[in-house]
Amino acid sequence: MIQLLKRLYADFRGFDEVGSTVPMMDGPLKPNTALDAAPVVARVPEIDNLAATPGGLVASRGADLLALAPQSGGTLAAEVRQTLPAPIACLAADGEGALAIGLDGQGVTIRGGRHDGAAIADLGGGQALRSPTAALFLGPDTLVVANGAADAPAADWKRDLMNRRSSGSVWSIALGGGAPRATQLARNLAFPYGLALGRDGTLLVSEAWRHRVVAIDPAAPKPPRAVLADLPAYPCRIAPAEGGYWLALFAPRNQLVEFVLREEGYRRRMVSTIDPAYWIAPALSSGASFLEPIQGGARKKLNMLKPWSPSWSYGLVVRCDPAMRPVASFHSRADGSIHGVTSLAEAGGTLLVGAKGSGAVVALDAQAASGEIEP
Amino acid sequence: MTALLELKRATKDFRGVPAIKDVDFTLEKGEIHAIVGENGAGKSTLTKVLAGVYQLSSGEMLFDGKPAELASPADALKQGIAMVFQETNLVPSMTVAQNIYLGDEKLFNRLRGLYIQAQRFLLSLNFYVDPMALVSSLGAGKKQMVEIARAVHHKARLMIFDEPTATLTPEEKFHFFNLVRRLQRDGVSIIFISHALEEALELSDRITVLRDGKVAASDATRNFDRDRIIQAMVGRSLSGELYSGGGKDRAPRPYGEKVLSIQNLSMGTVVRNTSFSVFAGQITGLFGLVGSGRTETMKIVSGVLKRDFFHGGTVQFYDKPVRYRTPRPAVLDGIVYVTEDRKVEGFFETMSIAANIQLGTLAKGINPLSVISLAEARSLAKQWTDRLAIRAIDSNARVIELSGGNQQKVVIAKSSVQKPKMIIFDEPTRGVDVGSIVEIHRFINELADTGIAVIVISSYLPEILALSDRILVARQGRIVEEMDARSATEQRIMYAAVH
Repeated sequence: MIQLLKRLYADFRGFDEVGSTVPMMDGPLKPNTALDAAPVVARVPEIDNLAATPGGLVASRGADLLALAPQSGGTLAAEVRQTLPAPIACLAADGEGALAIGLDGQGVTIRGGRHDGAAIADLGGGQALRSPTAALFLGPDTLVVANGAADAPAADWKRDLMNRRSSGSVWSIALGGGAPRATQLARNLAFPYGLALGRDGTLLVSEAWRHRVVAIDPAAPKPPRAVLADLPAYPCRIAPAEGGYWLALFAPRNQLVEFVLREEGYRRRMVSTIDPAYWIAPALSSGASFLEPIQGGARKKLNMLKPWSPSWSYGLVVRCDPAMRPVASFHSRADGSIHGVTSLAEAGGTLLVGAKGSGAVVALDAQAASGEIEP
Repeated sequence: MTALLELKRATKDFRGVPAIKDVDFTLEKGEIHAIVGENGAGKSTLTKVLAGVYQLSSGEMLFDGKPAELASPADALKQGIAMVFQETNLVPSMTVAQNIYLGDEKLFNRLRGLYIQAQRFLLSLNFYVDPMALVSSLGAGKKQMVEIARAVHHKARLMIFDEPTATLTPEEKFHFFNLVRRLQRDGVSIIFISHALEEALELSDRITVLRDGKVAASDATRNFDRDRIIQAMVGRSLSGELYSGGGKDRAPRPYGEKVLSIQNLSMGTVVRNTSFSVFAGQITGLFGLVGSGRTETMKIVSGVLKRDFFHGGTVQFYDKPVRYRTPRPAVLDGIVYVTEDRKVEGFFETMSIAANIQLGTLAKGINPLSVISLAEARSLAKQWTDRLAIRAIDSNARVIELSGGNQQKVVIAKSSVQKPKMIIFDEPTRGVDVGSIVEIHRFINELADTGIAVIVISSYLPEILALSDRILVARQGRIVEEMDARSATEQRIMYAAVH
């Protein structure tokens, strides 16, 4: 009763009683400049979907499938291997030559391996695989795919967030024995954006708009169980590491966004009338246009943006232990230059971090990075 | 110099157990004399004898060369002996000014005049305390300042300070030292008890070390160093165990599960929009100067205080948002707060050790029928007195009869029986001797090693550095800096706390 009266009074007075708070970045998530300090090994605009395959490192840029070949001086040279009919939304390698390629708005296609040429677009029951945000081979004949949103392509993620949708789902696709068959493992997820195999056979799924990572049992579907919640940024890809995981978070949460998400009228008008680039919403990169809102909270002094300024974009990679608890983190803060990290791949003892927002790949020493990070 | 005060073969016993025995003690005029010793060594008893709180069982006391028989503290004050107690003796429902001038009032008092007079007087001592504030609203540090001001006001010839600097900030300590030296120049003799040995070495002319109620050493300060004092206090060298190298000697414990998440917590002007997290299996040190809101923040978390009804922020314990209105639901959830003010909030002083420890289990609801088994209470008390090395005649001893360090151990035992998931120690070693500090630190480390989230609030930087895996610094009602134990230094922490 007291809570009800309190809420009514807060509504009447017009102040924010529910709270637009965002969790602190402290403890293992304490900000540092580790991503900015790491060497940049490649500069490729819009680079996404880094994946380690037996044939080398691959990535994507729009509809181009890229091969990243090592060069002298430790850099990587990007070469277009193939151009696909739609922008690439995800990549997954099975380690034996097969590559699952998610095509934004069109489904998943397999290249190489024994299911070469297989395509999955229809999930059955009138549902289409329109937003393949992440994929993972569970075996030679089983592919798990995250469908970020039921009715929008992955590239339109900002609209999905600002419309407060939770139409995402996770599917297991049996590739062997004729036409691929899809089985739903979880639904009503708020933009599933990353997949990894848990230590107990569960599937770890990052649920971006709920700022958490959940575990799903692929054998006996039950409601997802949160294994890492209350993140201060939106999680995306999860990469396995020795004794744990790497987790990429592509944009920071912001009190203003949290507030706008609860202001129905304002949000609808913003979505219907303003260019998405200038919404009050997270972004992969920011600070390029004077039309952007907040402008770093006017924390720019002598043309230097303060690292703690509020910004729409950020760079964040988190090292987690086997129980998916954060143990260390690598940041590029508001004034940094490695923003919008959407993909990770560990190859040869090096963790490659793909920052789509900044169009850069940086290399971290995976072994050293697994230890504690000095601020 | 001539002797102002002399004790000859002074003995004071309680129920046949001597607290001090055959003590010979001399205080010269205009001398600053430090008394140090472990808890239970008899320091407080000795000074209470001098201040007229206790009367000697045997022996002789001479003041100004004449035999002195002090029946009460008021009697002592009349003769020019004033004591500032470790636990303050102010009247909480009166203002600061009224407390300073208590017993010295005129027939008709003009409050405004009293406040102006008190303001001037406090400023002359460099104590920034509002004379119109009720004492009950002051923190421990400011209460201590009022106590000191009251003693100075009475123009005593001998002033006895029991742990005067324990609650003061470094800046206030500096002013206090200057004040003591000024009093010395005016011919006032000073006795002070301190567990901070550096203070004794810096400030005093002479040091007397008590051990087990007897004088273990007494000499001019220049003949002492830290090691010699400690050796005299405990009969062995503890300096290696105390604060050596801070947390830099060992790797910090790894982050466990996030236990506590505080976002935008606010309470009036004391706690202002603060946010931080606490993790399991670690000791999180919380440092801040008096008034930084660190104690209040933790009291809100543990249900002792309430946060603002509107805009009060959120507190999440594990994944559950909580808003405790009393400590009991917090204790039931596994949050335990060990108070900084043990005398007022920590225990029932006239009850036994066993009864106090047993009370902890009642709050936890371990015994739903609230049937108290005396045998169980005694066995619990035995277990905890052994574990924490509580020194008492037996578990039926009343807590009031124990020394400060042993009282603190009872408070810790009472809280620890509640099987906490997160335990908050607020100034765990304030007014505690070096021997007990080692034991309490060891116990705190054991708790963290078992996976419990431990928060240690301390004003003493070496303690924060020695215990913490992670250090949070509070200033003006919010957490302003986070450091890991390896990169933290006293200078960095203090800089964050002040600037």
